[in-house]
Amino acid sequence: MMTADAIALPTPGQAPVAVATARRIAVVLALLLLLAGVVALRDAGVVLGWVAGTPWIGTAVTALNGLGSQWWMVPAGAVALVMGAWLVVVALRPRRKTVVAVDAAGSVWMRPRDVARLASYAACSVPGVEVLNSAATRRKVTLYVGLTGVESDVAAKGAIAAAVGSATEILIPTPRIAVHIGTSGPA
Amino acid sequence: MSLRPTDLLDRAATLIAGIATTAIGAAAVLWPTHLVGAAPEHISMGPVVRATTSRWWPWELAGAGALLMLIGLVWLISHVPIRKAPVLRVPGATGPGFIAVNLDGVASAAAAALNQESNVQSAKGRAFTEHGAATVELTVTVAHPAALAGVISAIDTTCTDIARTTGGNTAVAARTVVQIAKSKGAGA
Repeated sequence: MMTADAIALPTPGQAPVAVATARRIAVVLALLLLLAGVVALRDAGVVLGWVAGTPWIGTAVTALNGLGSQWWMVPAGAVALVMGAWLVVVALRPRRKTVVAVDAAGSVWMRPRDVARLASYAACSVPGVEVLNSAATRRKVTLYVGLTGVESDVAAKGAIAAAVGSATEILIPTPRIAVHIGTSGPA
Repeated sequence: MSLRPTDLLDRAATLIAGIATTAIGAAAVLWPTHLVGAAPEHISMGPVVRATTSRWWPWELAGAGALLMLIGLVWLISHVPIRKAPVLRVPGATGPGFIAVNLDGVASAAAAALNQESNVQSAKGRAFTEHGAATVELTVTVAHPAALAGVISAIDTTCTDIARTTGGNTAVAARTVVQIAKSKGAGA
């Protein structure tokens, strides 16, 4: 087999990352700007007599003028406060990594859902084990299994963890493994 | 963290919107409680009300509206993804000229080579510019988890071929995302 270490590899590419939430919010803000522009143009048309109706901006300004404090403003303000804080966090938060590094010569990555599939396959190789469900994050693999053999739960958990640990040792960092035993088939 | 101008603008706008919303929210929460002594009893919009009755108001509105629509439209269009395959300029071995290498072709050829592997269900390749670096990305679906190690070895070999094709140019980066094919009866 050809050893990749002996041959020059391309510059390792960066890990794929999720789309920034700020990008989605920016699209909403751009649409709001467009909407504000349309309303302003409509109102201009109304004031000039080109469009029928009443001007919305003028009506809103008149309604706001002289408005005093009211108690409904407290819960509404609290909602705005939370939303504003969330927007600030979203604006400053770095883009989330969506993959786990694979121990390879080049830049190789796996998505958590594929790590879960790999773990499922490894767990299925243990005799008497049926995988009911599996899930993975970048740091942890969780398996829900059913036992069809006579093994004790503790022994089965140990065997599954060993098999999954062996299959996922190609990942950096190796994920934590959690095994939950459910009921499936004859006990 | 390197940011494109659009990303920077998106984040700056989100930050400003967040700060403004927080400020409005804080004012709305504090105003009815009368905790701030300097807070006015009523909102005074007198100057704005007077402006709405001026002769120039509709033209100011029209100008502001057109400007807002233009900015909104340009900002929205800047989010439409436009993928332009990077082109690598490799100096010729004998002549003074350059050879232009379309990296999309390199990515497709690498994917085609991986598709020849028996344990590869599918392989796709694309090239793009990320953080200023030309990047070749391969997405390889492994037919069976047991064959993962062999496929990773094949990927490393293909990456060395990419390096060879691009003349060992360090400006070209490569990355691979390995996927595992869905199998019947698997829990995931």
